[in-house]
Amino acid sequence: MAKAFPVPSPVSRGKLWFGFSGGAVAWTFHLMAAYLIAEFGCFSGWHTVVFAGVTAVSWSLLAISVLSMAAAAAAIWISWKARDRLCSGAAPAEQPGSEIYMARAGLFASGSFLFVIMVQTIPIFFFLGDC
Amino acid sequence: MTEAEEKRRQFVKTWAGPSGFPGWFAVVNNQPLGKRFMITAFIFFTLGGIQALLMRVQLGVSDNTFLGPQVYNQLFTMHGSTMMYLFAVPFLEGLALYLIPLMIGSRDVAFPRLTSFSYWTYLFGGIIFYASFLAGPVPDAGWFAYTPLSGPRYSGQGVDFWLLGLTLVEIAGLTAGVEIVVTLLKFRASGMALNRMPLFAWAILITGVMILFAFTTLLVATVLLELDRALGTRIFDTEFGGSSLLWQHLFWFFGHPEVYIIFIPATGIVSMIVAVSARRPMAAYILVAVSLLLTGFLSFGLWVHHMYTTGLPELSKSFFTAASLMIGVASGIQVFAWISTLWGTRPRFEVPLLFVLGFLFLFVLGGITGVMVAVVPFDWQVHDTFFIVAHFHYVLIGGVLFPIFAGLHFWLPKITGRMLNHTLGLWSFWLTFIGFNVTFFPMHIMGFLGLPRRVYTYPPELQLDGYNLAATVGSFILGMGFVVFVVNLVVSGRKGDKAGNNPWQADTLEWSVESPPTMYSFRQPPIVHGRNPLWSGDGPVRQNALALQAQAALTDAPHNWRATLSTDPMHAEPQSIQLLAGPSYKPAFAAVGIVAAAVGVLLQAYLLALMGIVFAVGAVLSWLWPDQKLLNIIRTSGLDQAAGLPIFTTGAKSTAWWGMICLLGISFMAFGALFYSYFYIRLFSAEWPQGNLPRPDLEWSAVIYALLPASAGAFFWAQRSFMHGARTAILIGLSGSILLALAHGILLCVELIRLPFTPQANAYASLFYIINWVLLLYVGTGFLMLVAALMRVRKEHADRTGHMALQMQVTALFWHFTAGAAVFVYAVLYLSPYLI
Repeated sequence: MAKAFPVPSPVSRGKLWFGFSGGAVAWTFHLMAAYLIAEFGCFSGWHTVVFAGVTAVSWSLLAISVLSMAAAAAAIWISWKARDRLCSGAAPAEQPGSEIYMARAGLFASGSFLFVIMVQTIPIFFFLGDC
Repeated sequence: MTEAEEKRRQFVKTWAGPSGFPGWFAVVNNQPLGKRFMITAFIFFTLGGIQALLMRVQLGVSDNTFLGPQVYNQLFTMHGSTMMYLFAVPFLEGLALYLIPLMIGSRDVAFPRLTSFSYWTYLFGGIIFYASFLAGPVPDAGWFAYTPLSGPRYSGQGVDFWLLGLTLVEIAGLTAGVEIVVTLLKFRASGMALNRMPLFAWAILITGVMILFAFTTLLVATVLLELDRALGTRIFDTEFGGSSLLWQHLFWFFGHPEVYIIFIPATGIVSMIVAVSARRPMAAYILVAVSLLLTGFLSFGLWVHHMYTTGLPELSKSFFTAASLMIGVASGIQVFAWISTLWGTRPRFEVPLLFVLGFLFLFVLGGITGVMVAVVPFDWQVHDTFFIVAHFHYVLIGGVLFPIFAGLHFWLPKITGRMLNHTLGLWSFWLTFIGFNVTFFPMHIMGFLGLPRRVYTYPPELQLDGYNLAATVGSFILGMGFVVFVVNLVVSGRKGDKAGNNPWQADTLEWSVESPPTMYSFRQPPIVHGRNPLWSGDGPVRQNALALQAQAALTDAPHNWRATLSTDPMHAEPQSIQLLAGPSYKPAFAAVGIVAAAVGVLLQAYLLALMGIVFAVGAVLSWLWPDQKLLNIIRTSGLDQAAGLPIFTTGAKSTAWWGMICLLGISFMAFGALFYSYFYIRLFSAEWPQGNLPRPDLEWSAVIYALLPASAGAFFWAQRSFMHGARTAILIGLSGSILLALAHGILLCVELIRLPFTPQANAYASLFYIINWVLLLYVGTGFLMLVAALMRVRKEHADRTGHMALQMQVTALFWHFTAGAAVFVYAVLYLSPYLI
């Protein structure tokens, strides 16, 4: 029986998928959590609880923003490293095209989602203490 | 006749659809069904267009009495619903079902009988929509059907027609979505790795995934509203603790992605035409693919921008404003990529490119007004005015209809075998383009001047007669553009020049086969070496011995059953030979059963509804039951040896496994929407459970709910025993699993009957019952699957790697999901009232 491609990839599927979808998952988490915190916080009175001049709603939002941005940045880093490993060494004909494509796409996608999370974080600074 | 010729003749006969009028109902091939989807959608489009013209006549002058307010409400409801549900999505699904197998080198789609079921369900759903015109009460609550206007108190039976028709169309959309996703993941030609997929295929793949998530939310919303109307539940009834705003959340969680569900395929069409017209590969391929992904993903996070005026917290709105602005960046990437591809070339100015250029101009205008209304203060000023009407028509007609016309001019030569007339094409384009702008551009100004939408007339003091008359004249010019297109289609379809295989010298695989294509599309599975398979200079060619062996074995074969090559989702390396279902009446029967159930609910003849469901379930079971005679023919065919590939596969190599994953994705979303509704109502309720109802009993219900994980555990044991061939253990495990499932179902029913409140008591009670009913539906389905597995395993327990193993695996996926869902239902309904 004939032997199939592909040759084993130097980067694991898990890392590729994390790089590809990590930013999107981080953004989804950020939007949903921010929406819930704002709705629930404003409804339950969290916005009246203040630490260091900033409401509990805003502290919570800042915390999830930092977490989400860190996750998206990690996805970018993984994609960057994966692309470097996949493109180094082998001649173009021998390079695993799909994996390189996923790594590059992950780089762009997670980068874009990091940007969106950053933009979504800006309003928190303008609406401090406001519902 | 030589043996090879005889086999070829049989091969052609195997793929031919059944003949005669009765055979029309049994056809399952993607090409005729794709065409039927498109033709049916165009008939609905014509009806929706006539409704639009009638509305424009009414609005042509102030204080007009051509239409009364009631008829006007009905017309704008039916126009919007028709265009969004009955035209745009089904048409693009039909185009995808027709083109995708050709474009990716497959002989058909993954589940041909599901395509047939999808078509019939769509057709019957559309007929129910329009039956309201004959029955009397026409839907009049808008294409969005906001509650309480669409609730039982303020609307008549027209809304029931709308909800039940729409439910059928949603089922059709979801099944087509599954079909598209699995086909694109599993049936790509050897070598067509993810990085070589045509951009149209990328767009359709993303759309398919979006359909699974977005349509499920709408399905849940429409079923909940119909339950409010038919059974008197209280989910959207504010007087009984429900929330009318919840409908808006659920609807727009579908409604906004819906816009992109039709826009993303349209951009896929544009990318294909731009590259072919410029005669060079699309610029920034990866960026465009990623931007499609971004657009699809972000579109699920924008639904609140339709609800800026509903009193949401400022902070919430700001997040959605940010996300709404960002989606413009994703779309912008594509616009610049199209311009870059055309830049510096001497493109062929054929009619498809003209429509594409028209699209670019109009979509950018619609996109700019979209960015404007994403900003909260601006949205407040123009909300519910004609500015919004102008904006979304620029996006939907400019951004979707123009690409559809471009695509039709581009691919109709492939579909019909004849070129469309160029001169008539030019007339059609200019009439459509001019008519569109004359109709919709003045609406921006009318919106700024304060003309509200959805109002049947306006006073002359507003001094808007001139703008309105221009819009009305423009709408008729636009309509003439469509008429010229239809004339072109009819005339060219009969007398047009022969198209040949590749009239545009295009690059993708559909242009490598004859026009119109044969039913089997490809005599031998193609092998792809680059992103533009029909253009040279794609880079180094890497020969794949397995692909070559499979290609040789599958040339004109198999000759007495339908099959295509199945490849792995990422690299498109050959994985197996996939058996495809042949013609059958059963999908049409299943659709008839479902429509009978819908009509039963409509007429409040619940016995008919029950009979319809039983008939549909029977038809589906019969359709899915394996044909042992066929399986034996396949087992002895020797094709697996010749191709070096298995025919019966399990796990991620199998299409059935992927189909089940899609179904579980839909189910995940359905439970998610129900849980969201529960907690949304909870959040805004001062007391919980509402109305001093008792909190649910924890202990006894824990026993009932523990039965399902126990049943799943027994099935897990049975499956492991199956792999080891331990017959007695399999039978004990399966029987135990079935008995535990049955015990859960009976005890849960008893528990629900014993509850001290009814579903009509308040919103909490309604959701408590409905979520349990949905779980019971899953338990019932799983029970049938377990019984089917037991019946087969008694006869075929030795078939550990073949068809039976796949059935066990698919049943396991579903049953383990159901057990997991039960744990969540218990946590939400029973535990959470004690915690929050």
